Amino acid sequence: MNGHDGAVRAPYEAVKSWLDRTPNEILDLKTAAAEGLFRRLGVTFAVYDDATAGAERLIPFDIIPRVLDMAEWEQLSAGLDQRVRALNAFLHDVYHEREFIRAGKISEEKILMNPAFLAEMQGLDVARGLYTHICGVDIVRTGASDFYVLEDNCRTPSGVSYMLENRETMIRLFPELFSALDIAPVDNYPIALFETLQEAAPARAGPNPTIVVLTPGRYNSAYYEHAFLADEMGVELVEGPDLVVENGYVFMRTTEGRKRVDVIYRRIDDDYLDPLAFRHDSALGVAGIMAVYRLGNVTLVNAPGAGIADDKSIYPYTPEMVRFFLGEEPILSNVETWDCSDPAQCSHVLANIEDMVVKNVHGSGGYGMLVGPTSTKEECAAFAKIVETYPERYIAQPTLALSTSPTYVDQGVAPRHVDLRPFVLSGETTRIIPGGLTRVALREGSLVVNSSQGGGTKDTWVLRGVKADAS
Amino acid sequence: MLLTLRHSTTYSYEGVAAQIVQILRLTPRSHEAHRVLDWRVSRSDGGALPSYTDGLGNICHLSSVRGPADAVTITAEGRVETDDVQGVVSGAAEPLPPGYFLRTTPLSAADDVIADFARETIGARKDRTALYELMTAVHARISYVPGQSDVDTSASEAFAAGRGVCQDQAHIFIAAARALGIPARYAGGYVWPGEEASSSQDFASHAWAEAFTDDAGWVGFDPSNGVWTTTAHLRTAHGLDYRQAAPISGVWRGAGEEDMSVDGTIQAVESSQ
Repeated sequence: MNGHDGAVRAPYEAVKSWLDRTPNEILDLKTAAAEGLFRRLGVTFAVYDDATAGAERLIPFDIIPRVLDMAEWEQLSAGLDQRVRALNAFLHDVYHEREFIRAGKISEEKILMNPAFLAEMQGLDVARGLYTHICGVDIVRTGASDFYVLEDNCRTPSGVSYMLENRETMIRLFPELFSALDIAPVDNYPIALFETLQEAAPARAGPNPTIVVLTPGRYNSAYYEHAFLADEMGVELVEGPDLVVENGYVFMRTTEGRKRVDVIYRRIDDDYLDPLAFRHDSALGVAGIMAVYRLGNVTLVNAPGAGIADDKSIYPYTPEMVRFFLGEEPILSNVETWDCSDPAQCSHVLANIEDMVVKNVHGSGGYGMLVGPTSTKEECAAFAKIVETYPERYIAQPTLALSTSPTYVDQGVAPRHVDLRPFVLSGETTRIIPGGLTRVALREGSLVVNSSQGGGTKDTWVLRGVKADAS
Repeated sequence: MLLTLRHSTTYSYEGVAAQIVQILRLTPRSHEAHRVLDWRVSRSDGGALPSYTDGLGNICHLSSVRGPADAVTITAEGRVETDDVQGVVSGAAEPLPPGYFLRTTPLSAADDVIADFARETIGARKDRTALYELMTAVHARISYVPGQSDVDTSASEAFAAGRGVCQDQAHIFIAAARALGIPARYAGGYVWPGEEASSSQDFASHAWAEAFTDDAGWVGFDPSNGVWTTTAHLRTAHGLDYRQAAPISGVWRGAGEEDMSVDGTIQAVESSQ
C-alpha cells in the first residue's frame, strides 16, 4: 500500500481513510459475515494432500481490497494483451513451421521433448489461430511501475469465480464504498467469456454455436467454478459420458435427444481428454474428440498442447517471443530465471539456494518448490541434493521484494505479500476484465500465495476515481 | 512389385454394443517406395468414415457406430506399387522433425539392459549399416513366439523374456536405437509373406521400425524378418509406438465381451518395368 517513501499510494487513500475510521470490531464482524456468505454459496476448493484427501476448504477471504489506479491498470493490461498475443503466436508456430526454433531462439529439444508438446496438434489450423483463449497471467509487483510475470497459465487456469464472488461479497458488505468510489466492474466476465467462446467456434458452426463446459466432475478441486461459469453463461455443464462422437461430430445427450456441440470449454487436462489420443485408461474424457477436432468440426478451448507455452522450462523465452512474433519490446518483465539444466547456471543456483525460489519445471500449485529465505538450512540442503540429482527438472529465481497489501489478520491490519492473476480472453478481440484475482500470503513474511499452501484472496479494485455526486 | 490387398477386421459382441468409436490407421500414403493406385476403407453397415490426417502425417478415418450392434466389419482394400529402395523412406509426409522420435513411451522405453545391448552392438555409430546390425542383433536375440505377449507388453518385458511378436521386436529395436540418441519409430502395415505362405489363414497386420540414420535418413528395418523393408512391405502408419500407430484403436460401450477376427488376402505381381 505504501510507496518506497512511506507515503500512502494515491489509489489507497480512500481505503486508508475507510480503515482509519473503522474499528477492528467492525472488521471482525464483516469478516465473519463474508465467511458466512461464502459458506452459503458453497465456494470451496478441494485440497490435494494425503492427510486431508477429499476435504473441502473455504479459501480465506480478506476484506481489505487490493487497489490499482487507472494508469497502473492501463500499463498492466497493455502488457497482458501483448504477452498473450505473443503466446498464441508462439503456439501456432510450435505446431506449424517452428520458425522460433529455426531462427535459433530455442533448442528443438526443449520443445519436441517436452511432455506438454503434443504431436496430435501438429499442422492443425485452429479457429482464428488461437490456442489459449483464456489465459491467467500471474503478476507480482516490486515497485511503482515494476510488474513482473511470475508465470503464464495457458491450459485451464482457474480462480475467476473467486474474482467474481469476492466482488459480489464486497458489494454486499460495503455498499457505501461502492457508491462513493468509481470501481471498474467485473461482473461482465461471464458475458465476455461467452462471446470469446462463440468467436472460437468452427466457421461451419453458424452464427449461434452450441457451447458447453466440460468438467471432470464434482471431485475436481475447481468443480464449483465449472458449475458457476456454466450457470452464469447459460450453457450446459457436461461430463465426458454426456458427450458422444458420431459421424464426425460431437453430440450432447439431452432430454430432447442429441444436440451437436460446436465449442467445448473443457476444464479437463489434456491427458484425460480422449482415451483414443492420450491416456487410454481415462474415463473422464470423450473417445474420438481429438479426431473431431482435427476434422475441424469442434473447437476445444483452450487448445490441447497449449501447455508448451506456459511450461516453466519455456518461461525464460517469453520476452523473446514478444520481440520475434510481434516485433515489439515486452511491456511486462520476466523474473530473472536460472535454468538448472545448464551446468553453470545450476552451480550458481546451488551456491545461492538459500536466497532463491526453486521450482520443479513440471510442477504446479506450489508443490515441489523451495522458497530459500523462509526455509531452514536443512531444508535448503535437502532440496539442493534433489536439484543436483535432477538438474533438468528445476529452474530458480531470485526472491523478489514483492509488494504488500494491507490485510486484516489476527494482529490487526498488517502488510502481507500479494500477487495478481488477471484473466485475458482472446477471441475476435482481446478482453481483459479490470482487476483479477489477488492472492495473499496470510502468514507473515510468506511469499507463497497458493490456496493449497495457506494463501487467501482479496477483491481487486481498479479505481477509476471518486464519484462526483459522492459527499 | 504390385501389391493387391484386402484386409477385413470384424468386431463381434457377445452381448450388444451400444456405441463403438474407432480410429482407423489403414491407409497408405504415396512416397518414393509406394505408389498408391487405389485404396478404399469401408464399414459393413455402409456408415460414413470421415477422414483426416493426424499430427504425424498418417491418414486416419473416424468410425462411430451407434448401437445396438452385434458385429461390425472394417475393410481396407486397394493396390499399391512398391519399389525396391533398400528400406529408405523418402518423400513421405514428415510433419515432425526426426528429433521428436527420441521421445520415450511406456511401451518403447529402454531399460539399462536394452541400452547396454545397444551400446555393445553398435557403439556410437549411427549409419545405416550400424542400424542394420542392430536390427540383426534384435532378430537373433528375440525369437518370434506368438501368444506370449500382448498389446501392453513393453520393450523391457519382451527383451527380458527373449521372445515376442513383431510388435515386441519393433519396440525393442526402437528402444535400443533411442537409447543411443538415434530417432526411431514404430511402423505398421502389411507384408507379403511370399508365394508359399500366401493363404488367408496367414494374413495379419505386420509391424516393423524405422530409424533415422545419419547417412540415409529414415530407413525401415524389420527385426521380425531380419531385413530392411522391401517391396513386400506396405506401410500404413507410423508413430512413437504401437499405441500411436495401431491399425485400429477403439473403445466401445455395452454389455458382454468384444471379440476380434481378421481376414484378408495379399497378392503380389512383379512389376513389368
